[in-house]
Amino acid sequence: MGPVTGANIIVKGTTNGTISDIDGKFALDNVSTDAVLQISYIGYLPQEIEVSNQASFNIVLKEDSQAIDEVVVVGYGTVRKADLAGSVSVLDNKAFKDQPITQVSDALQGRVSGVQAQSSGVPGGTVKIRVRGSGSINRSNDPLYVIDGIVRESGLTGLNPEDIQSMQILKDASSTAIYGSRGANGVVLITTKTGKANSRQIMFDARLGVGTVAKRYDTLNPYEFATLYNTYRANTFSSDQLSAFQNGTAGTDWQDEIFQNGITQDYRLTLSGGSDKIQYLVSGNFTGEDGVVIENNNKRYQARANITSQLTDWLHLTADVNASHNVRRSANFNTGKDNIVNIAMNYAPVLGIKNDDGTYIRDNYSALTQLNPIGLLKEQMGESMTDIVNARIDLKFDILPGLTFTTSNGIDYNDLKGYSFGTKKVDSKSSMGNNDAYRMTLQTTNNFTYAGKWGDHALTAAAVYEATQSEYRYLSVSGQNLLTESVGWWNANMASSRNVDNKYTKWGLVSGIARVMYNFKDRYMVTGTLRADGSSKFTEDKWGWFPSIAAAWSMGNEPFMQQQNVVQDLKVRASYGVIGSQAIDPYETMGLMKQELYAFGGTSKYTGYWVGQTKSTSELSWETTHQFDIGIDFGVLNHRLNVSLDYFDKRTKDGLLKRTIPNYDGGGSYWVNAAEISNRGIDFSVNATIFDSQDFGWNTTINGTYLKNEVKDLAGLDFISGADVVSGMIPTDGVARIEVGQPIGSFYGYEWKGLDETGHDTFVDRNEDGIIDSEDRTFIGKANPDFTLGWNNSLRWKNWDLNMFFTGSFGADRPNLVRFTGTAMTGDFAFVTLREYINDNFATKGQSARYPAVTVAGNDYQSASTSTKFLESASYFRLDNISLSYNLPKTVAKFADLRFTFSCQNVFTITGYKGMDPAGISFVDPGTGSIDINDGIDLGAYPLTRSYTFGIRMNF
Amino acid sequence: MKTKYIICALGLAMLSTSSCNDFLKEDPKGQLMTENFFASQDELNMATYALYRKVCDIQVNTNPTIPSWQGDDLTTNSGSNKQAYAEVDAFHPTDANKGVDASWSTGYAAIKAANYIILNAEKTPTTEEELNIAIGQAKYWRAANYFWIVRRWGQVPLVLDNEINYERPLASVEEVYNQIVKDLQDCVATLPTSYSTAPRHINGANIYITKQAAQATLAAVYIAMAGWPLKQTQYYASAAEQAKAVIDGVNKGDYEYILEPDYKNVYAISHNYTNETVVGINYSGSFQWDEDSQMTNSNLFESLGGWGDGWGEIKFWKEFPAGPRKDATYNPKILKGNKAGAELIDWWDEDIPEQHPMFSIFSIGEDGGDYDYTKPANTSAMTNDHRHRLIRYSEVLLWYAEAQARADGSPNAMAYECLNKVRERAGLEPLQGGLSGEAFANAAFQEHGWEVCGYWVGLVTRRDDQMRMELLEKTFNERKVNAEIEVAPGVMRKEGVTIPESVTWQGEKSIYLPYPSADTQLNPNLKR
Repeated sequence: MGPVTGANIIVKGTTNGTISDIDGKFALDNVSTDAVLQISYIGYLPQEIEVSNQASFNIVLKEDSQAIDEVVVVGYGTVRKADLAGSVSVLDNKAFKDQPITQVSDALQGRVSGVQAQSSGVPGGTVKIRVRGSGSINRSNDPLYVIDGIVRESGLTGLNPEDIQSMQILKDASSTAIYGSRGANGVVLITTKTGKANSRQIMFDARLGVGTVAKRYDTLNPYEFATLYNTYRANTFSSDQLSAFQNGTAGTDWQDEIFQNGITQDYRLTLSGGSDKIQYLVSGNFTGEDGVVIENNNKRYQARANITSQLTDWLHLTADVNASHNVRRSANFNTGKDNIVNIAMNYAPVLGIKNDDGTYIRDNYSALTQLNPIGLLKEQMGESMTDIVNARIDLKFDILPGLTFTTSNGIDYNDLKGYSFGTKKVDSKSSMGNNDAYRMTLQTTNNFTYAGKWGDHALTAAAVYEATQSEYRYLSVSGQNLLTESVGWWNANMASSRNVDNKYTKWGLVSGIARVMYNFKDRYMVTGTLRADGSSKFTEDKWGWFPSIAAAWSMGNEPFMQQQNVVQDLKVRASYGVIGSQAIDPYETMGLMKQELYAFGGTSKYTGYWVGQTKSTSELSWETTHQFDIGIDFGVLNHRLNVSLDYFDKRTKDGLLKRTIPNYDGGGSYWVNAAEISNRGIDFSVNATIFDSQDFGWNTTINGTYLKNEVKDLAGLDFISGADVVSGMIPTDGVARIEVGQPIGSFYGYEWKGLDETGHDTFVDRNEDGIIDSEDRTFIGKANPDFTLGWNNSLRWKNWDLNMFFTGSFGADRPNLVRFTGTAMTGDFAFVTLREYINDNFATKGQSARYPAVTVAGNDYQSASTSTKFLESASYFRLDNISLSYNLPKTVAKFADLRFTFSCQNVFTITGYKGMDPAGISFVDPGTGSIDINDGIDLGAYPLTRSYTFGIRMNF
Repeated sequence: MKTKYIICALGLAMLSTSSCNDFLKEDPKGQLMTENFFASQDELNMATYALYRKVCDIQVNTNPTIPSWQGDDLTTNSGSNKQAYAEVDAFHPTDANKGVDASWSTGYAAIKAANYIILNAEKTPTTEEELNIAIGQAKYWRAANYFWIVRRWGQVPLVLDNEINYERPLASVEEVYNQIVKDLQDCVATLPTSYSTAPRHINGANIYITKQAAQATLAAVYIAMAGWPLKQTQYYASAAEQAKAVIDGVNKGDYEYILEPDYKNVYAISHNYTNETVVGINYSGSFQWDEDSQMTNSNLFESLGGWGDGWGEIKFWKEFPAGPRKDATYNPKILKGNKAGAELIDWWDEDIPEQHPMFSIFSIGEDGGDYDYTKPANTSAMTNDHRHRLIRYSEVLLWYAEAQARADGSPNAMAYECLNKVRERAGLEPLQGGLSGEAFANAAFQEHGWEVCGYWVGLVTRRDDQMRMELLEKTFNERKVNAEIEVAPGVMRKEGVTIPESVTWQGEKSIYLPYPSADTQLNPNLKR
């Protein structure tokens, strides 16, 4: 690194300061000999230099990433990385600075060992993040998100990636137990940027990206479809029609119609500065995404203001407000027959788009039950609008030397409005809907922390009292048969029949937390934590206790290790603890009555109530997870290669499980503490500085996670069936199944044997009773990978930076049901649309073919849908991002430091998977069932987008 | 410096005064709890509405009615997505069949809602009359659902409480019937004969169960008890007695029931609330995929843009006597491609890939009104208001005729009158006197089959008739052979859904459905 341009130099305690010039030079007048110069520059450690009698200085700045004194944020405090006894992954914002991410969650994918992130890819859409696997069967396995000490129920939505200083992912029990009943799924701690004393920054960053669909389905053209159809039902298409299809004057390529080039814009502005006494940071962000599927878009308007101030020598203030306004339009990309990509892929290519009267043409050849995909997208798109405000005030009192009291008080406000509309141009009935959900979470955290050091002994102790309350209010109205459609969703009174619904829930959590960290001679570290949580969600057993203990030995600091130079910074760690989950909804143990509405054939509903399909479970209590972790960290080659390796064994006991009520007793389910789930595995990261010279550097980081999930006990139940996510097309008990000895997210189905001599699908008759029925199924695959990998490479050459980021996933399977609907003849998808069928069916190829002929009678398509025939390996290796940047210093550009970045995402994917994207998933609608049980079924994921992004970043 | 201690002390004081217990108390605003329920007439009404909603669910789509496909009137596509129907049609449903599962679980859910009322309604501070109405509805629908369940599975758990029990034993068929009879007798004893306000009375029809509706149902139950498997033939007399009470009431003008003069209006959407319906379930097309009748496309063949769930069996169609009833049950001709102005062709025309008679019962016209087979059927609505006619008055007349003849050994004048009324409306010649009791009863029996042919939502379908008269085995054997039938001069056709080689007749096991696998896994007592 050459001369530093733009470093701040200030005389301590004064406003006398300057900035270094092109050559890194600076000059200051009126400096007394007892003055102290403070030098600061983003990304480097600040320095103080006593002036004394010197007239000139040669100052060398140290990079901030020096591991030795790196401070890691842990729950309710910070700790020097060297002192850390638990397992915490740190993701610095530098790691993803050149990847044009628009959502914070995207930064987690592949970058942190032990963390699996899967994005739906939908603009503003869902992301599934799992820290060391899934421990709960019926409830969310999402981690807990904590932003600057305040739990964020709104997750990562509405955050500006630019505001992130760093993310810490707490993985082992020692670090998560401090979050007690909410720590079982791991904790993502986010630290945001604040203004720095005596350093001002004006940063503007603009990015523009163009996205294209990386892979499409190869479908039949109209002529091929019509010709094939005529072999099924003779003379359906006349020779005139056939020639029209052949010369391209009739027919539709539905994928052409629904896909487009997407445009992403992202603008970020950050202003920060301050003095010794008061520092501020103001940032704003606009992100606009137009997806690769028409009419799908997402806009985010976000602003944040942060102020920190040392009000007196004993009181420090932090105040922070972050507000975002998110507007999103999204088609249905969930797992289901009406997934828009699945519909488009199955719509008969021989059709036009609209009738003469302006209504949209329905398919009566192939996708019989589905509405016109263009109509759905152009006329019936709903809209959702989310406003999120997070605000907090921290007051930190320095009471005595080493003793501080900090009170943090925050709100998390989330307002979600949703709108929907249906028109007779597309559907048989018009409809509208409005809903409005409000959620306000209040948190107060009051923390006494003492830190002291006597000789070889260092102790940090914290005692915390915390209270959280969350309130949810909901109102919705929906209507059918609008008197006039022109009002859209804006006039509920235009609906001939209406449904209204409203709802209120509230929960509270009161907690006491204690932690002691003890360190002897910087070699032996012990951390003990204890949290007591009281939750309103349980009736009798409200209180739960969550202890943990961790020990570490920094062997590298032992005198005997100083005699060698093979291994540096060697540290071994071990931890054990108990963490919990209270992931049930408020009032769920109370056995509340169930509302049933019935119109008796009319247009307005009578309100009814009955006992419903559950029962009161007042004895229900906490789900606990016991986690053991052992880890080792070391460096070799003089810190050039650093390795961190952890083995973990995470066992969920008393798991909250929904026990099925027999249907003869009315059906339904109720909560019991019964399941036992094990997650075991290894996560590691290796960081290597391969080259580090003046002009050229190459840094590479590989992280990997091997995970084995296994259900150990289901309280006497033989198994739990997955949801019937595509009713009528697959067996009613789904394609997923949970059984003791199998992982969560296992696929259960038939073993396909090929076609028989009559051209019918055949399957292995496992119980050899001569018929193929539900008894012949077995476990055929699983949704979650064994091993996931992320590989990040940063290269620099003079003013150029090159980043290449690879991800990989191995061992997962997917039922490729789009391929099924495109080649099978079922009630919903009654004809073939995929081109691969043409040369691989019984009529053309005989018994060795993959598919039955279109004229087949009595073929068992339902069993085929959930058989090995359509189960494919979803292993892949992908170049996720490549970006090339050029830095133009202010000395040349005159007005600012400039950084130009050109990048490409999803450059290539190596996979055997036949669908659009082995990593893409069509998420199960949460109303249908647990996402972890029914995961990984491909019924039309959001198309994988290859995007090209140009960015410019200006530091004034 | 002092200030900070004061602030800290204040902070601590504030924390310690905020009460933990209040904070952790659950406050389910807007929700109702069972402990306090049945505190008013309105709450009693709400419990009854919820029951009716659960009753609506037992037929909202075809799945729970799939057991009806076992009868010789109905068949389906051997391919497509009709496997569940085809399995039942060919006497080999698996325990995972979606129809087996749906009819079991929706029926028992309605029973649970009924039990809740029967066990708790007495708490309501209201008049005895109102209590009788609410409890009567509950007992009726409990009885009706057990009536379906016992005919479909035989021995079943007899649940009369709201407990959850993983070890419930199977009750005998007789125990279940005794409970059904007891409940229906209570209904007859306590229910009024008419209602006046909505939702009890809508569009001129009694929606809530009346005394006479319970009596009509009791007649059907007694006839079933007199046949297979109980074969307690003394109940023919009881059946005749109950049916006669209803008919006498109608003749006196006390009861509202009629026979629609034109058969074409029996199932017509324009006559949705006809008083020919004795017991019905209301559906509302205003609430699509919610509480609508989702069978609008179930008759129209897939090749014509419908769903084609239920097809006419060729032999039954052939033997079905021509006339307005046949023309209102099946499409006399099929409009080619279901396109306006197209040619009208016979079902055996090679342009119709299904090659079966097509029912027209559930089809509606393009405008949503009555279906006219010479014009296109609606394919876009998929669901509508169609009120399911569980029992029609014509059935009560036939039950009287059959039961009287079987009970007394020879038909009386009233029996002739009842049977001939139904025949005449169907366009058939009246039966002349002098038939033996057996011959007459069989004629009434056969007549009922034609009357309800293809109407798979009925309380007594053709399948149920065949079961009590032990005719299912015959149907099984005929399907095994699957002989060609001459459907028009020189045109031979046969069934598409065949019974697999490995499936043989196993008596009771072939007649009854398997217990659904969802429940056999939970309770080992559920086995034959």
